[in-house]
Amino acid sequence: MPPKDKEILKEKEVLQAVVVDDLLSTDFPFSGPKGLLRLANVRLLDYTLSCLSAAGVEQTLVYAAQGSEQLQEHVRASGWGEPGAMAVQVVACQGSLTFGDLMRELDARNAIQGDFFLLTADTVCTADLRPLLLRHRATCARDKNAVVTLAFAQAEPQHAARTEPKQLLLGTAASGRVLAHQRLDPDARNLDLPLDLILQGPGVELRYDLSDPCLAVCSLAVPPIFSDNFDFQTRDDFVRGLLLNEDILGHTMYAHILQDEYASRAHSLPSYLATSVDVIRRWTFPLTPDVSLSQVDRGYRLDVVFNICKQSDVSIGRSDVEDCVIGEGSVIGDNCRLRLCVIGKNCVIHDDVDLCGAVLWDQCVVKKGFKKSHFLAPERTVLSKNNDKSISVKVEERMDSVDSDTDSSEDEGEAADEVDEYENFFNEVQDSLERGFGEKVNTDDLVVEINSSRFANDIPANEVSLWVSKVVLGLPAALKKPPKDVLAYFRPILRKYVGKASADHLNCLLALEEVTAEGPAEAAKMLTLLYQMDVLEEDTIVEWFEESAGQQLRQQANMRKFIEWLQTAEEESD
Amino acid sequence: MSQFTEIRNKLAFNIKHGNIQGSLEVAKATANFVDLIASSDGWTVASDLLKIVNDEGKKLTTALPLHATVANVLLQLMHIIRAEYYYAVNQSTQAVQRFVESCMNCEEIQEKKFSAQCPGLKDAILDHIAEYRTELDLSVDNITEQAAEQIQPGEVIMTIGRSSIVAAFLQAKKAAEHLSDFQVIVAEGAPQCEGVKMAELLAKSKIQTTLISDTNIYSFMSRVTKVILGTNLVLRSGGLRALPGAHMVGLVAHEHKVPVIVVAPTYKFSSMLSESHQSDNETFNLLANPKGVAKFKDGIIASNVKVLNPMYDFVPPDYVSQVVSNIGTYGVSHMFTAINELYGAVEESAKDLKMAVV
Repeated sequence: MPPKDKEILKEKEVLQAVVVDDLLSTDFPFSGPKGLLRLANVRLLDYTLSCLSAAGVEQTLVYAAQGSEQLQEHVRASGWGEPGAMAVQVVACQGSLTFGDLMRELDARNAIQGDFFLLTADTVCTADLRPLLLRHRATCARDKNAVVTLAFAQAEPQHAARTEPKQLLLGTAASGRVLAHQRLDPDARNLDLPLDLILQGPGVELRYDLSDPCLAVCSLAVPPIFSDNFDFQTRDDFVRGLLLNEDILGHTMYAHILQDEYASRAHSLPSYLATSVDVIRRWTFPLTPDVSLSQVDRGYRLDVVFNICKQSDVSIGRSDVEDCVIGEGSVIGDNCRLRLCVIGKNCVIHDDVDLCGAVLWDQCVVKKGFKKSHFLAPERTVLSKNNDKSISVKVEERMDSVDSDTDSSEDEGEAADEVDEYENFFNEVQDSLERGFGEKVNTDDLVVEINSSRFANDIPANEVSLWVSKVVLGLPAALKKPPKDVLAYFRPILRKYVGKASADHLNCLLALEEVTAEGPAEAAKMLTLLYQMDVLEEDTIVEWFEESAGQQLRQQANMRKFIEWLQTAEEESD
Repeated sequence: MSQFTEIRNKLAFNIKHGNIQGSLEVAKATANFVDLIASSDGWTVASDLLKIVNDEGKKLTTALPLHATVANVLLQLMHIIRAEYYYAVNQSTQAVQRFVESCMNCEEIQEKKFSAQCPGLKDAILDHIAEYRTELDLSVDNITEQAAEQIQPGEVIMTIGRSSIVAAFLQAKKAAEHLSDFQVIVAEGAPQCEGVKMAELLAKSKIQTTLISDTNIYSFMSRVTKVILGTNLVLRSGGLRALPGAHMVGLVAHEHKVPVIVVAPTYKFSSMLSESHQSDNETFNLLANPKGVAKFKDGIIASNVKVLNPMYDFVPPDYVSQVVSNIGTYGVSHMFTAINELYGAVEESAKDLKMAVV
């Protein structure tokens, strides 16, 4: 029997997960790795690993930007990675700082065998991840270009979990394919949406009720994408880049909404405090300190009536304590009022203290009469009325609605910025194409240059065709060369960017109109060339001419002749 | 780390992921695990074996905090090991009897006990564990055999939530007498509302079934002639740790003088004394995820409201009339003795499986 078992093992793909432990936000007074930050007195990594082991993951790779020895030690001491359970491997990546760097490290080490879960060390999720994996596999079977399925949790506007200053707007097709992924500025008045959203037809969804736990299932193709695009630093860069580059890289992304499940991130101070409250209120159950967060028993016992989750040797005086997590050896005096607090080990809280939503790390002392809410006190802090070294967050009424009043000067400033970006892009593309024409550079290399300037200036995909056409069509005049030679040389570039979508064709015609505004005689010549080179199609040209072309062009005799010829040609071919 | 680590982790994984489903299967798997330890070469004297079972058991129960059956089976098997040791040492059943009686005051002797070399001890223990496993295999049959005595034709029975053993009990009665007409009222058992599945299960076996919401338990009780409950645990006091709502059913039945029958196989008999008598190391109840009661995505609820969803209800012994188990039917006052036979006296097993606090 044993050899047979081994064979099965070989054939079966090992289900893997990658936990990215990138640098911790500077909000936190903590120098260790992210995974060792305590959330409700339990290390963040334990939440992540519990979730993965519950999903049936067989091997988890923790890519750590720092403190890998400490992580390794913690993994061993908490009984993760015992034989028969999920294997956990901590990989040290000195010098890698960001999510993107760690992903490139992952690619370099070739450690991935197939589809894998990708999440950060600060992801707290209690959802069953198996349906997510199945969904991804089903998608991949349908769409060969699918490389990643992003998971989102639901959190309606005004929700405490929406701690990010910029909230996510997600546009998906009926199939779940991601068409738009934007972080909305709460002050923005306008919304730019890709045309794709409308062209997709019925079934398109635009959602503003999601929170992003930074959790995804990725295919084998994902780590190399990070290596190819060295400018991807965050996961948002990756998502945005994949969307912008969809036509070039040919990768598609899908979204999966975790229905009625809990998933969040504790990556900034506001989100950390909000997640602490969620743990206390047991939205993360069974991932709570008293139930199951590792292989060792932490000794937390729950008082069901008051929802106090405490370790041994905790002494509470005649105080009003409710909804708290309290570590070993802590003492709470009389006449205090504690709500939704996390209290570390060996803390001392004197009489008459009033705390709400506070997180105290180990060995803090709170002096008599101290009152405060929603703050974090690092280890060994002494808090008194006169000396408050805690780190607090302003809890404001969040304005999730788009209609907040904005300063008009800001608007102008933003508009000016945008113009600059387009100008930059235009100039950069013009420079590289002029040089390319002079030095006879391969057009494929020019495409790479155009793409990099496009990312650098953050140009939306639907506008690229307009600007690239403008540059190319303006070049004959700029270089003082016959349009025929120039356009013939740049034909591959035009074909690439103008593509097949009618929106892009219209962009190209718009560019033509602008470029030839001063010498309309050139317009007909160029249009003929574009038609002959198969960049534009007769239908689009005729439609454009009849509906939207400017007066100047309409009156051109050459132009009218060409259009008439096109129409007759069309009728004949019909 | 020991030679059993891998098997233990796999067992914990399978139970957690529902590959092993239902408390009976969990009980069988746990008994298999202890059998494996006992048949290994890792021990020579009984104290070694007890230590291994205790250590592995602690880790297993830590990994599976929501499966009380595991701890019950482990403790019952540890009692079996002790009993077999005494038998082997004294070669007489009277000694075992004396042991059970005397261990009220034998704590200091305990330390030195179980370390004598006894020929044939291993075989005896393995035989006894095998017997225990057979008992588990037959437990459902032994319980359903008693259905005919408990349910009379024309009865109106109320139950709450879903319990596979209660379903089997009712179906057995139906199968035994094709013409017997009795009907069942199932309360949904919010917030899990497993009662819906229960009603489906019963309807499939052609039992006349009515489904009601928990709020109507009182108004329907006047028609009911018997309440049949499943449970998570039966405590030594005869009280129950059952799903939320069971307390209400018990109270209302008590008010209407309707007998409450609890169907529970021996692996649901717990060594826990009662709800109020819990040491630092035991928790009777838990607060489960509030998602059954409200939705997290709803901002105002999740941000401003404390939503509670306790996992169990305590049903006081006063409300329980009889406990039907695979080893017979007990009146509530006899539960203490019945459970003592399974676990030994309270003091004997007091230290077993107690978690080391980290």
